Amino acid sequence: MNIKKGFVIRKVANKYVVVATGPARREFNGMVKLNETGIIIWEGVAAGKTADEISDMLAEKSGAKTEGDRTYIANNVNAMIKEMTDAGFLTE
Amino acid sequence: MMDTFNIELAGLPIEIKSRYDYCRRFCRDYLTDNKPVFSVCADDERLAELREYSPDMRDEFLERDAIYSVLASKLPFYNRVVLHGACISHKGKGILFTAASGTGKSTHIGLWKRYIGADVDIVNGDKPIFHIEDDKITAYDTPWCGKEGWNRKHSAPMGAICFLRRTEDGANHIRKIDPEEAISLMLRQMFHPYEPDATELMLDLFDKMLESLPMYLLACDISEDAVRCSFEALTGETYISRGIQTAPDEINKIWRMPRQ
Repeated sequence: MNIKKGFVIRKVANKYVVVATGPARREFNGMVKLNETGIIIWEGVAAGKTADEISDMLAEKSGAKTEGDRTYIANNVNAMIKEMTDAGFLTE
Repeated sequence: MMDTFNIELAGLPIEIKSRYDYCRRFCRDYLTDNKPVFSVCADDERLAELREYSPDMRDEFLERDAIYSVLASKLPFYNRVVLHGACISHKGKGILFTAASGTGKSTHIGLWKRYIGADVDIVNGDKPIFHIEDDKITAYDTPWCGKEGWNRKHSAPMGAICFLRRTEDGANHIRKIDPEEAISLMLRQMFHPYEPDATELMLDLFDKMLESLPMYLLACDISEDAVRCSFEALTGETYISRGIQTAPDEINKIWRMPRQ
């Protein structure tokens, strides 16, 4: 799982903005705004990490202690990866 | 055989190479002898991309627009960006009205000209260039102004940006928006370069604009009250109605206003 080529990420007004460039512009006309958690997930996917690895990373970063917390994080990660898949950002 | 000439846009001398001599005529008010900082011509890929959107456009017009697209992609390297919007100046201070095509930007600034008169100048009605450097943001006219034959080469230091929406009659209102809300509204109206490195620079310049300029969201109809509404918020002055200040013929010389 990886992200298709041609996306640029930049911090704009304290949010991370993802914009398509080059041929990807034809498919993706808009842009995506990510908060601090979103950018970690995005960059994790870009680095080829699995959903579990990204969840673990986030859990450690946020100091999540309980099983409930870790499940909450994992659900968020999976939800975002699904959105990225549905939007066509990912390669197989 | 390419036609080669130099123009000056937003303070930058640029070399243009075109297949059709129409482009030089189109840019006639901007010709310069100054040494260019870069050169542009319309490459096949860019022409093909534009041809998809405008299948029936004549070749020379397509080339004209492709040249602006290639040029606009290089501007971020020189702290400049192209924004889709209608830019005016009021008493020398620039105000940009931006929105999706067909929303009513030209109509709204035409109303400003109609009811306010000589204090309002049109900087560029379609795709002005903004130079962002050292905390100063300046808007510039270009030949690509949305209406042929009326290039005035105006520029103005920027004071505010206003995102425009239509609303039902009588419901004019305006509010300030914070930079985060402005991202979604404004980013669609920025010209997006083709290349990733230019796009990164464009986003950095966009960030500076968000930081430096007050941004507003206006919902308006096409009445004089719409002018009162935006005028007072954007200039800080009280609007005084003095009737029609600029006749329709004068405004039509700038561009065609829809019948009202």
